[in-house]
Amino acid sequence: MRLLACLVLSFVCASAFAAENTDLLLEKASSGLARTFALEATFQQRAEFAFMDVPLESSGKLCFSLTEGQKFIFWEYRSPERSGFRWRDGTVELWTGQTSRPASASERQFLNGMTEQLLQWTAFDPQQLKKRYHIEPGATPLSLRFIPREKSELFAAIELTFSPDLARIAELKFSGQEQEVTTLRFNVQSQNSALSEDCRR
Amino acid sequence: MNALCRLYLLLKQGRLPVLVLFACALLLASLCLSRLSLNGSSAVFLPDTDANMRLAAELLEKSLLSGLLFVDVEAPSSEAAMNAADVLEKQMPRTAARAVRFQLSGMTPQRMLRLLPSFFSPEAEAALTAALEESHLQERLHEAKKTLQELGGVAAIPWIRGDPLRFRDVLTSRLPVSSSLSFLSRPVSEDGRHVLLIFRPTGGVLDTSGARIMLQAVQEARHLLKEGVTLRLSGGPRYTAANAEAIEHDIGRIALLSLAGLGFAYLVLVRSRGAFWIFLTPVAATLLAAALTGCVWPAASGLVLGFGMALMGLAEDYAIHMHFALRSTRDKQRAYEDVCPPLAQGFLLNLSGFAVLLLSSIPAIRQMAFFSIASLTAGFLLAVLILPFLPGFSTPERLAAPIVRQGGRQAALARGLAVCAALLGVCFLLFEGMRADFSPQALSAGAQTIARDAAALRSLWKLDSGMNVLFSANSREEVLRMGNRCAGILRENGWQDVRTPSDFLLPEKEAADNCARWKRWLGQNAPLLQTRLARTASLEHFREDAFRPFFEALEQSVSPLNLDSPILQELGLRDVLAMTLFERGRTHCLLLSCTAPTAAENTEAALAAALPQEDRAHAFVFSPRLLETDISVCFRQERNLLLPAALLALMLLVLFLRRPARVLAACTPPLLSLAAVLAALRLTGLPLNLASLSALPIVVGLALDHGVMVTHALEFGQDLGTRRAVVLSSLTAFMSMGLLAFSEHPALRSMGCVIFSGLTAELAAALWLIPLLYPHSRPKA
Repeated sequence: MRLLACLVLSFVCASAFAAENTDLLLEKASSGLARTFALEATFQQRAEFAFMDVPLESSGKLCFSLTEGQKFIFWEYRSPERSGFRWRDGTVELWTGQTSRPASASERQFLNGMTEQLLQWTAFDPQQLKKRYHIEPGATPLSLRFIPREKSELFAAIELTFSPDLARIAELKFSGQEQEVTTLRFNVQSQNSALSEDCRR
Repeated sequence: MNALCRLYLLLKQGRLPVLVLFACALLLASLCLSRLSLNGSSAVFLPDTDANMRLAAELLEKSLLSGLLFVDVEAPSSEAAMNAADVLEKQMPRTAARAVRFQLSGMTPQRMLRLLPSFFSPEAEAALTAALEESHLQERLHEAKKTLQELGGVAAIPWIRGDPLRFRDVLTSRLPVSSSLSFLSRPVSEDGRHVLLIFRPTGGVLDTSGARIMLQAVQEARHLLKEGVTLRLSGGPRYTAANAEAIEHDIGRIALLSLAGLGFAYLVLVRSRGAFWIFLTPVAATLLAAALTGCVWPAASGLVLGFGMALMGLAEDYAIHMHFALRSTRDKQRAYEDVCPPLAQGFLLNLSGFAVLLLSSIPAIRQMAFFSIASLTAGFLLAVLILPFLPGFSTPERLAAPIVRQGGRQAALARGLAVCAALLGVCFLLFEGMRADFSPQALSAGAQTIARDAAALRSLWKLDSGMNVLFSANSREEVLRMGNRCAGILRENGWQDVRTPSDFLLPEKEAADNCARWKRWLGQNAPLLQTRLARTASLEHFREDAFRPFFEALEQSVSPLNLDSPILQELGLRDVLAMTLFERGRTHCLLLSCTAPTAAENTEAALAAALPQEDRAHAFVFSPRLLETDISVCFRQERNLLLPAALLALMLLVLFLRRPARVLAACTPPLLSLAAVLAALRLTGLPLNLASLSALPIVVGLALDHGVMVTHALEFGQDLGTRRAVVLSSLTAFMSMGLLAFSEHPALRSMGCVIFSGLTAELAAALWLIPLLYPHSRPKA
């Protein structure tokens, strides 16, 4: 009985500690990320699918600038093939290789929706995030796992791993409904400074 | 006139059976009235001589845009817009409306492959056979892998596993996915910030309570939505609700005042039990007229019902004159004989005006004219044949001085000419440049706001920029073939947004042939497909079971697509089909819509010319804008009936009154009231519309009646209580209809303004202007 009481007590304590830790991390990350209004980073992407023998690896560049009055996002895959998009205040430009192409209506819709999501993540408002996601500690001390409260067709959970200074996201891991896992690792080149020429096509 | 008197005497002798018969007639009329229903179709306002216009209206009522409530949800983000749309859809009571889907939704690779066999034409067969080439397979799988590597590639997994070779390309060009719509179940604007919701009222577009429930649900949803979310509404139910609300508000404000005014008028001027019979006369006349109209047209237009209520004032006039005439003397027979001729003249004059309207090409106006004739006839016959012998109708006697023939007075021709010429001149001057608006919107409450929102919705969602073509044929097969052929040609010639049900529904035989072709092709190629795909998949690092969903979908049972296929429901195409593929009598019809490649002046002609020669005879091109213009033109043309009506009335007036001076004197009340109406419309800035034009015959008719009665009294020197009758008749019409000038509803306000100004003027003319035209004869030396 005493053993059971100890077990329950330790479980309660652990849960309370975990919840407190999650909130603390969330708050700290929020204040850290809120200071980021421009970023230039390279990324490595690794996508694992249950129906493929090998993981699909790719890499590229991410730039964003969220200054007052102008929002700009640049996302380009550079390996194995070049393709990407640039979003500037609602206008989308797409390219594959050296060729630009107009975005179809559905692509525009998709990219606008995704940009909206990205902007919400960069805002990183803990209250809004708690409303939309069930948040639990991640696999490492500096990571948090977000599980959508409403079922999403695109992913079952997102795990964010923050940098040690909690001022940026070091790794993003999407877990899909069909056991697929996409991991994005970021290597920040500059933060809150003018974007380089590399952020242009 | 003698015949009328003899008939009256005859009826008077057998008053009991006559009253029983009359009561039976009223009972029968009440029963017949239950047959009468409101015809909400716009076709009743269209000239029946123009078959094309009527067909266009009928088709547009069937079209996607008719009778629906469109709600544009605007939010700062696409997610917020979708959430707001969810809230609104949940808020909408199912009893009042149901959400309508006009686009493909719920498409999955499995459903796509269920559709494919029916569309497996020889061209599709060639395309899919080419797709089995190993190089092609490798290219497809390489593309699939690349998609998976990209941002959002996860969303493509079901399609990559379910249709790796993109067999769907054979179908996608055919399916109704508009440029602004894509994989979402609701139309979403390109920036994602607007979502379009469409609701169909369960009770139809004229169901006022349903429309108000819908609008209330939207209002409630507004409170639940977050800040920054805007809801913009358009469509028939919004007009219906706005009109119902405005009318209810107006009636609440005016009805009490109107009733009090009527009670006061009867109390002060009648002060007898006769008031009951006077009040009952227009009610009975309207009941009989409505029953008769119902026998001829079981579904009457709203114009008839609205006008019928207004006409009660005119039907009452005869009873009032008869009442005061009989009360003016003990010698009722003589009073009866004296009052009958001017009453009959006034009745025939009014009748002539409405008889001309029977020539109108618009059924609603003909119905209104028929109803008016029936109502006036019933009112007149009741007043001259039945009311006089009803108990208490003409008591107490000797209200006024006894009839004394004081020696008639002669109207002065010069004065009459001068007054009439002046009034005609004023009317002409006022009529010049008079603003006219015969569009249906001019009669609707809140039309400006609704029209502004509707324009915003139209421009955002391209709701009415399109043209429509109706194809008719003896069989569905034929009409589907025609639609398919023309759609292909229009697309080749650059016409945009071409939509036809033949895109996703083939003639049954063709679908069956395609299915047979698919079975044969699959039987021959399935092993090859399996082997090659497995080999290529391993080269691209896909596992053996990666495409199991694809092969499972290929094994689905194949049946030719037809109207009853459940997949059409699953894909949300049922609503589109119901409205674009239907039967009119024995003819099968198909509706195709499209947008012109470039802005042209006469897009209808351009579209007709773009159709293949062989199909032109079976095609009918129309558009909502063209119809709206045609309706306005058609209403304007109805003004042409006013001149013959006025001329016929003048001829009858000359025939009845004979002397030009008396004719001119009798014309002064209608002319003065017409001038007053035109002046009032100019001063208030109200346009001349269908409502004001409908009220005009009532004012002019009453003014003519009074002109005839007053001139008769002056010419023959008889006091038949005419002045009091004229005052009461004008006052009751004024109280019941004239106060509508203070309504908020534009149609009621227009009608009220005409009656208010017209009656005030005709009363002044009858009481003071006409006597001025009759100088007192100097005593002979």
